[in-house]
Amino acid sequence: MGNNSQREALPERFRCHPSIILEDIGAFFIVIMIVIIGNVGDELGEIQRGGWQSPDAMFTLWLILGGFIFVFGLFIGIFVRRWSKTFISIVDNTIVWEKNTLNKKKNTIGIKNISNVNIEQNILEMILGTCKVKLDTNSLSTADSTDFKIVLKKSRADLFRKRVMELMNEAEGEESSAETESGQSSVLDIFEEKNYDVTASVLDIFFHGLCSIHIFTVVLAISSVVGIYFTIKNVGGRAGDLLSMLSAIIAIAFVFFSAVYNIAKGFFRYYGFQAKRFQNKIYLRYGLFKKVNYAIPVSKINAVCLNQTLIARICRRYSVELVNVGMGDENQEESSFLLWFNSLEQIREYLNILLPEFEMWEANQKITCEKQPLSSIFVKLFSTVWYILLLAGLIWFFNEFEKNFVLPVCIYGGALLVIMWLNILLSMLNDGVSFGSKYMITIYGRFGKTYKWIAYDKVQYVQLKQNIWMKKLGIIKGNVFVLASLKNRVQNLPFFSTKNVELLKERMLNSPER
Amino acid sequence: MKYEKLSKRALGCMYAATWIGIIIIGGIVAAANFIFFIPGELQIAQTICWCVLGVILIIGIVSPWFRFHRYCYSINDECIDIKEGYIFVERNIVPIERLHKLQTNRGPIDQLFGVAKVIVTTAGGDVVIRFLEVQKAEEIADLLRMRINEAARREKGGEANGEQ
Repeated sequence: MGNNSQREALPERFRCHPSIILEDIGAFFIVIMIVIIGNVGDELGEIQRGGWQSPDAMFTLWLILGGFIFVFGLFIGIFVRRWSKTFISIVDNTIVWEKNTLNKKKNTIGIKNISNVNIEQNILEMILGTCKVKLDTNSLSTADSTDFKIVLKKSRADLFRKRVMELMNEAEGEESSAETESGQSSVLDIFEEKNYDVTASVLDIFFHGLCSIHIFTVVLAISSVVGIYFTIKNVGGRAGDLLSMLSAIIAIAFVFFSAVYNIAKGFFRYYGFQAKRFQNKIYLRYGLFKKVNYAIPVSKINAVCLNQTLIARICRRYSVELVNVGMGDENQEESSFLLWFNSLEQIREYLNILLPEFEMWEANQKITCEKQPLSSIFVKLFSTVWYILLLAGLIWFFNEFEKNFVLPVCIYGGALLVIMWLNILLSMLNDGVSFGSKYMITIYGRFGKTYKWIAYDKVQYVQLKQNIWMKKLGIIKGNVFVLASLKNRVQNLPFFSTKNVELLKERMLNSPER
Repeated sequence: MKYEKLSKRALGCMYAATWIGIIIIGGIVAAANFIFFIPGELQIAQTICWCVLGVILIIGIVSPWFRFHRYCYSINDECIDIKEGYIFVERNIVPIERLHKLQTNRGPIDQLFGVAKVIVTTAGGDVVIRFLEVQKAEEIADLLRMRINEAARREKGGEANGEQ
C-alpha cells in the first residue's frame, strides 16, 4: 500500500470515492425500510382480508413497489449527482470543498487553523479499500462537529493527509524537516512504520476494558437478569400472560445487552493501540472493527485528564485523555483517548515520551491537590434545606388530604435526601483544586475520579461565583472555559479559598504561551 | 485595580427589563389563579399563587437595585474584569490576549434608556459588559479593538522574529 501511495500523485482537484454513494444509500435504505414497515402494515392487512389474488390487491401491491422503486431511484440519482458535483482541492494554504448542486456550497478551511487530522475506517470501508479523512479546525463554533469529512481510496487518503500535514508544518514555521534522504516525507511514514513509542498488548487492552467498566453498567446488567428471572417466575405457566411476559423480557434483555455492549466495547475499541511522538504531533492508531488514525498537534492540546473508574481506583490504575478540538466531538467518539489504564509510574513514563513539554508532575511525586475547604460543607448542606422544606410540605399536604401517600413520600423522599448527603460527603472526600506554577489541577469524582491539568495559557476566561454565605466563609467556586467540544468546554472549579483568586488571575495573565 | 460603576441610566434599564419579565410571569400565575384555582376553590393552590406573586414582586423591587450597586467592571492592558449578580455574585476575568471578536449591541430596551452592550468573544465563549452608556460602550469597543490589534501585531512580530 505504501508503494501505491508513492506512485500515485494527488490531483489538484478531486472527488470523494464513489463508495460514498453506497454509504449514503445504505443509511437512506434503513430510513426508507422503517417508514415502509411502519406505514404499509395496515395496507397489507387490508389486502389479506380481501384476498391476495383480487385485482385491487395486485394494484395496491404494484403501487407500493413502484413507489418504493421510484423514491429509491430518485434518491440514488440525487446521491450520484451530489457525488459528481462535489470537489475537493488544496489551494495555497487552504482546503476548498465545493458542492455545485442546486444548493451550491463552498467551504474554505485555513490550514493554519486545523487542530486534528484523523483517518477512520469502518468494516465496509475496510472491504472496499477506502477510508474517511476527518479534519477539525480550532474553532468554537464547530467544536461539536467534524468540519470536513471525505471518503477517499486508502492510498489517496494517505497522500491527502500527508500533503495537509506538510502544509500544517510549513504554516507553523517549521522547516520541512519531514524530508528524508529518499526524498519521501516522513509525515506519512509515521503511520506505516513499525517502531511506535508506545504499544499496548492484547493483555493491556483486556485489562483496560476491565478497568473501564462503570459500576452503574454492572448494576444495570445484573438488575436486568434479576428482572427477567422474576418476570418468568411471576407469570408461571399462564398462557394469557405469555405475551406480556415476552414483551417485558425483550425490554429487559435490550437493557441487558446494552449494558453488556458497554462493558465489551472497552475491550475491542482500543485493540492494537499504538502511539508515537514525532516533531510537534502525537500520532495514534487503534481499533478492531473501526480503525482510527489520529494526528494531534501538541500546541492544540488544552488540557490533559487522568481518569479512574471505581475498579481502576481499587487497582490503582489511571487512563489518560486529552481535551482538544477534533477528538471525541462526535457521538460515536466518546472520549479523546491517549493512554490505556496503567500504573502512575508507567503513565508518567509514557507521558514523558508523548508529551515531554507538559512536565505535569515531578518524578516520584504524588499528584497533590488541595481538598475543598471544610467550611464548604455548610454551603452544600444549606442547599439541601430547600429540598427538606419541600419534602416536609409534601408530607404535610398528603397527611391532610391523602394519607396513603405519606409512607411512600417519606421512604422515597428520605432515600433521595440520603443520596444527596452521600453525594456531598463523596464530593468533600474527592473534589479539589490547586494552582501550580504552570497548570491548575482540578480533581472531581464520586466513585471514580478525574484529575485535570489545565495550562493557564489555554484558559480562555474564568467565571467565579460567590453568594453571601460563601463570602462570609471566605470560599468561592467557579468555571474555567477552554476551547473544546461542548462536554469539555466548561471545566468546573470546586470550592477553594478566596485568597487564591488573585493567584489564579495572576498566573492566568502572566503565563507565557507554550 | 480600579473598578468603574454604571450610570443611573443603567438602573432604569435594569428595572424596565426586570418588570417586563415580572409582568409576563406574574400575569401567567395570576391568570392561572383566577381561571382555575379561585373558581375551583383550591385553597392551597391559591395560597401558593399569592406567595409566588409576592416573591416575584419583592424580587422586582429589590433585585435591580442590588444588581446596579454590585455591577462594576475594569479594563486594563491585561484583562477585562466584570463583577455582577444578585444572590450569586459572578466575576468574569478575560485576558485581553484571548479576545477574538468584539460586538456592540443595543436591544429595544437598551435604546429606550440610551445604553448598550459590548460582547467580547473568546475561543471558550462570550462575555458581555452590559448597561454601558452608548458613548462609553463605543470607547470601550475602540479601546479593546486597539488592544486586539496590538496583540495580533505582537504575535506577528514574534513569528517574524522566529522565522529570521
